[in-house]
Amino acid sequence: MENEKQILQIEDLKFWYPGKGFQLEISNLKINRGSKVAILGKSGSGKTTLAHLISGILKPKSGSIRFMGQDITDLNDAERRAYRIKRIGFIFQEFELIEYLNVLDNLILPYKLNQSLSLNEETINRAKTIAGRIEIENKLDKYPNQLSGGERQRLATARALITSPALVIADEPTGNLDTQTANKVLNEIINQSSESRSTLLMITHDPRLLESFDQVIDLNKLTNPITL
Amino acid sequence: MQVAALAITMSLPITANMIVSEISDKLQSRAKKTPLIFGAKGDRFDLAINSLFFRGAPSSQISMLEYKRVKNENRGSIVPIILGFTAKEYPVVGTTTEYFLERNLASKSGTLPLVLGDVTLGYLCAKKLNLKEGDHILTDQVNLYNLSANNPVKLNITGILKESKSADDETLFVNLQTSWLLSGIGHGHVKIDDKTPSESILSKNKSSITANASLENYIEVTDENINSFHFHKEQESLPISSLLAFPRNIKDETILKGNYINNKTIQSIRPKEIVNELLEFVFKIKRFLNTSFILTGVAALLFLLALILLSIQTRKREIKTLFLIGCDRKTLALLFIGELVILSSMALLVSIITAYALKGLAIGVIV
Repeated sequence: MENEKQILQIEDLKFWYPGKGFQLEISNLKINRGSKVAILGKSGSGKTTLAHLISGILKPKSGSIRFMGQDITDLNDAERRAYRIKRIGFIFQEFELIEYLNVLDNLILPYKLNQSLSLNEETINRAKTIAGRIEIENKLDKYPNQLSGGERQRLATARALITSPALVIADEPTGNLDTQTANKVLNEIINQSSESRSTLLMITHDPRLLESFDQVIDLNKLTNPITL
Repeated sequence: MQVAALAITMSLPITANMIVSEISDKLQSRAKKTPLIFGAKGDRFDLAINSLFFRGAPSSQISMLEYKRVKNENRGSIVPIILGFTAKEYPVVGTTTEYFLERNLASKSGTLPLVLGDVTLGYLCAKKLNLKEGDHILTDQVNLYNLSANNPVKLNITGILKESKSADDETLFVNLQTSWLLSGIGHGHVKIDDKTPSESILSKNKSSITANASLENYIEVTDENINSFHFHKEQESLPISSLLAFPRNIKDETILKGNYINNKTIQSIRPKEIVNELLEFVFKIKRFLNTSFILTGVAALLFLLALILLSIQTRKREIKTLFLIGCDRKTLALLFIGELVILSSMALLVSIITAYALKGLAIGVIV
């Protein structure tokens, strides 16, 4: 029962980059479905590495990562890519919108890039509905440089959630923002994640934002084991 | 900017090759249609190019006597041409009606130049000068500062030729007598007799009266004064620039050429051989240019490679975003290759258009 509540389980994970002194070790980590989790740590502590391991971009040297009951470390490259497309949504620090695509194309970009996701009229209509919810429905033919900062941020978040991923990984989306703006951005991400019932995993180095999270993984104080 | 840089690099070798190709085609085509040329001993290249394309005149001339000798060999059609005159900077060529038959030139309107003072214009001459049948054109003064030089002559346009896409389109044609008139060998003036005012007379005796320079020559041939025109030379010594020979067959051509191999005053040349000799020199230059263009091409490829690497470098974050969103490496590679193909295709299209435009300009100047 407890396992059904958990979306992610990490056991005895070890990872290092060859030739570099860095090593990441996590003996036990569990994340519940629908929760909001912050990964906190200073620069170089392994936050992004952990996010890449969870999303299947990197493969651990040892240990297991079970996502919705499936051990992703057993998957090959193509299978991990398929898992990432279907299960994970990404929000980036600088939003990383594609400047030469209009708002609608940016929003449905995951469908355009992946043949395993079907891009049809239903998808387009859903995208338009989402655009309406985030108040950019009148700007579907505009380009990112024609949007305000807030609109760009909402668009980037909506793009990450359009495939209704089980897990959203936000990599320092509030970096370099003042507290007020950072909170605004964070609330937007949390609201959209909640609406799509996605679990949120946010990488941050800003301890001011931690109040909003159910769980905090502090890589600065990595202990063995890391558990709830 | 990338497209422009690539297009310029590619257009240079394309243009050069197109120009050389077109020029050599024009030269060889004209030369092939003229089996033999006879002219005074001297520079054979000069003789060939002047006789084929009417640019300037050979430095030495032959005579009507020599023309008749070659003609009397009876080996085919022998066409005399007289060069060295211009009107509005277009060459004025004196010849016979056989020239038009051998060159397959037909009148678009009017007639060929049959009479003294008549001129028939090549197609482009008429078009560019906006002249038509019934108009007049003045020949160019050879040297404004030479008081003894011949006066310009006002020629009567009697016809326009059809377009032939050859050097004939930019030429004015007159008969041989008109050419001699232009050279000053012939002229026309009022009759000199006992009634001529004394101030116009240089000397007078029982048998002849000589007028002085105050007697004005006619500069235009009209129906009223045509009979006053005369030539102060024996017909056989009247000058001809060169003879275009159109033998009936290879045997006649070979015999005709052979008969003048050791002639002291006349040379016979095969234009095709002369043009090929000239073109060999041009092709040597072309080969050198092609080598340098290969180097330019290598530089362009390296430039393109640098562009690609720079593009990848500056778009690293975009690549990472696409990868994380789920784009596979193959699709990413295809995206970049696709961009490269589009850029290169656009550059190639622009370079071909540029090459054609440059070729059109260059050919107009060179040929």
